[in-house]
Amino acid sequence: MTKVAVYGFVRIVFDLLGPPSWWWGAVVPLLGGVTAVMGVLYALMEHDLKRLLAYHTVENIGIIFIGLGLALAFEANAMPAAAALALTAALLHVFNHSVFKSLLFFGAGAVLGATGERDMERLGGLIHRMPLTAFAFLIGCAAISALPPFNGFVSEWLTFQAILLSPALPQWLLKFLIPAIGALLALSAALAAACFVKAFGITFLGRARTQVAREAVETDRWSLAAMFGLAALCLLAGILPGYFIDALAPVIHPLTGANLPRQDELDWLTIVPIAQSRSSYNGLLLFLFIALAAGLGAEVIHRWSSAAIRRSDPWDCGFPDASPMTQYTAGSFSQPIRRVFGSVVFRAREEVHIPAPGDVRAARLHVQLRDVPWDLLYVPAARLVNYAAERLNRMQFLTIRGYLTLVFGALVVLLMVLSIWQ
Amino acid sequence: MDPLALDVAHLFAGGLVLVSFMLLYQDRMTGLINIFALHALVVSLSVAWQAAIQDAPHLYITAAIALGVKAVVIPFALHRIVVRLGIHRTIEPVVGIGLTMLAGIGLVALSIMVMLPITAQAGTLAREDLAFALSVILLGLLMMISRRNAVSQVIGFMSIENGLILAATGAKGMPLVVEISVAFSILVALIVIGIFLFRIRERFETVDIHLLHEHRGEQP
Amino acid sequence: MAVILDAIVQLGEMLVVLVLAPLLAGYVRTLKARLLGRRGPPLVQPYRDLLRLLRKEVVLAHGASWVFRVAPYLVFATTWVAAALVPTFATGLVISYAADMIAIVALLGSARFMLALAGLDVGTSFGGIGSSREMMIASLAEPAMLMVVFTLSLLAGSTQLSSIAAFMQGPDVGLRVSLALALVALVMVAIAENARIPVDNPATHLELTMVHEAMILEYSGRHLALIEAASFVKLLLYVSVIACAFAPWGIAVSGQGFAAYLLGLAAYVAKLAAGGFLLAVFETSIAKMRVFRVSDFLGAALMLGLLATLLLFVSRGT
Repeated sequence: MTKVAVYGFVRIVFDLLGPPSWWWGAVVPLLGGVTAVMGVLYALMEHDLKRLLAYHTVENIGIIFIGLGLALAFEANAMPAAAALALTAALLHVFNHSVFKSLLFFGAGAVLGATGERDMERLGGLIHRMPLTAFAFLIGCAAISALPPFNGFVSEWLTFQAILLSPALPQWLLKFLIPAIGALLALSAALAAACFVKAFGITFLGRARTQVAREAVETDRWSLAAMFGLAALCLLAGILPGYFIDALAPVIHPLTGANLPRQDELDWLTIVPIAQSRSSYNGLLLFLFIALAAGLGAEVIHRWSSAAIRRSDPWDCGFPDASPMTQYTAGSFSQPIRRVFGSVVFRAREEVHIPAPGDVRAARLHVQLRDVPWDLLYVPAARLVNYAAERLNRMQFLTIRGYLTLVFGALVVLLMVLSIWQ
Repeated sequence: MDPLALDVAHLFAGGLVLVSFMLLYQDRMTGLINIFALHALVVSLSVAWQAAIQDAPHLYITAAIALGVKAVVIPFALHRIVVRLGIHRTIEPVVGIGLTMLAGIGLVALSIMVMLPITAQAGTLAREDLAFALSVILLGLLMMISRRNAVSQVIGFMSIENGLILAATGAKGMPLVVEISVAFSILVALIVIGIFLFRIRERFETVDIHLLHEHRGEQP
Repeated sequence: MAVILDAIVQLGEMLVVLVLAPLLAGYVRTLKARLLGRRGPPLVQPYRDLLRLLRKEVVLAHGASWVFRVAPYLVFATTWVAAALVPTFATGLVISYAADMIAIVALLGSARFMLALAGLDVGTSFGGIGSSREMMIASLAEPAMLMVVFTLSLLAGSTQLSSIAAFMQGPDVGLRVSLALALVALVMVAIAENARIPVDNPATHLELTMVHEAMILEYSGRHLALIEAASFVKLLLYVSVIACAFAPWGIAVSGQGFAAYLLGLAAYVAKLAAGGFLLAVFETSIAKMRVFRVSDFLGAALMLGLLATLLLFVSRGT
């Protein structure tokens, strides 16, 4: 649904509004960069699985708008090839996002269906009960964290390549702003990896925290087939990105007037966005190398070492078997990040109440977050809309003469406007 | 001008900006004073290099004054003041070190964006030294407003003066008389500030600006 | 024929990386011990540790899943492939056109992702501490590294390490401020990523003060051997990147002949020795920071990287 907004933006700004001014290329990427970092920080503070995924969509839209804004900046300065690269990066990310986000939402839905819980802090250990869902969800997490050889990395790499073309821009503000936006993009990518380690680790790994998590059952075959289809698409788009880039070319050309070099003619399915001497990426070779290295390592190790495995209690520094509630929760996993970033961005405050020694009541931890954009932007806007709606509601209850007066009044006003404009 | 000479001059100027950032990063009093000594050392090396490539021997004296007074005498005096006042503990920044450094980056970008277009007619050496010098001045001011402790504000003030020396030597033609008078005024200012700090400490048992604010006497 | 020769050089480079990595770690360890007045372990001790671990059986916790068992292989594979992409004694590697510096950073990110998941897998609180702190450190170290990559790429006009090395050996480079700042930022990131003092202590057994060791607390046997080998290779990778980007003299260009390769290898070993010496001296002269000071440290590295990129536009009036 968010892609409809992206489509509207591309259609209106790139197609209908005419040649862009250079300062659009400053405002849009800046908004995109700030959105990306804020979105992933929101996602990190969440412990409801679906809300985490929804907030994370905010980050991905931010990344898309960074690409779109860069395309505007390049187009305003008559650099069509660079604009084509930035626009390709943005549109490829739109595609990638729809694939891996759908996969993650399907997984979250499967978990909700199997356990009735969305709260990560009441789950855990689901990898033993729902192994196939967990595997597909892991592929989605790896793809969204921009890890090679999956597809998230390709669109992010293309965005970075577009950012690296920024020194050619003449305006000083753009020259300084775009590397800073590159830093914001890198920060959001690293935080996204942290977010999805938390999402997968707390939900699926570890030990079950509640009874429903202990008794979860795998979802049905059709859901699993859908998830595995999307997961396969994630891997495919990461290994063979050239075909997808070429598929976007008929869209890029009318909007920017230029094209990336044709990717499917290159050796070994490498992608080269600008020139071979500058940079290139080959997802297939990377995937093969990683698989070969892992396979070689496994083969050599199993030849030379003992293959014995013994199951036992966890070491846990010698503590005897602790309850599953001593595991890290979602809130505790994101505590370092909440303390480093959240104390500034969300005014995060933690209060701990520990009862005196001898008192057997539980200790309490209270975390308080303040959603600043919500309070400053959305609440006043909502209040304004409510007020206007209250006022306009009077129009529901007029008499017939009242409605006729309205129609007459509108007609008179339009005729007056017509006469004045002529 | 010989590109290597230009590059070494840039290296010293950029090094001065780097040491200004290190001043912003410190959270302990003794570390702050030592890094300030390093700041003065870098400025004196930069001035000495300028003396060598501009063929202006009086700048060697400027470098010697900077080295002797600000890299040795003043840090030594500050160490003794800090020990006698008993304030050698951590410095509390107002908004946190990360945000302060982020503001510092913004200030450096701002000074580059301001200085480079304005000085388009001058030689490259002067232009970039001026941009770096403005950054050092702004970073010194940032240090003064983002720390609660009076001694750290004094150090910020003196780092501003180092930035001014960098600007003056980069722009060629800084008379020796000006330098000596400026250095003496700084020394006198330091002595007066030191006396005041002792008196404040005796009276109020603290030099924390935030706590001193309540004693101003004008508020209800 | 040239393709086969290039492939052999590439293979040789991968083997050199694998063989020299434990030696570098052992050298740093022994040097630290000597600087502290002890005799220290023999230089080849890491090889003996790895062989000993390979021979032992693996003890798995009851709750460990397939993620726990597969992670060591993936961590080792991604780190080894990333290290194979860095020119050590010769440039123009066969697979260096498959991935550039951004891909190397992302490959190390994959390794870290799997390791953090493995830390959460067994469901103990120590693994959680390691994973959450590691992700906090990574969330600042990775952008700082990418800003250093930006600076080098904007200077050299390419993100490929071979091109960067060739540019740094050429005449256009000069002593630029941005390079000095980028070097400082890269060293700070390398210390944080390799879990060295002052960020993390590789030798302590107090789990509450560790980050990397806490994540791998439950590993044993051949799995632990693979993870230890991966951390040795990662240290070698970072020293190689610093040597390749900032001290590239002696690296052979592909096609220069066997003598050039030997010279490149000798230069590379000398650079590793120098890097290891500097690391040992630095580690013995500074104390470990408390955990939330690490975020200030890495935030400073990120700012330095950003400053290096911005200052590129100042020097030489570009």
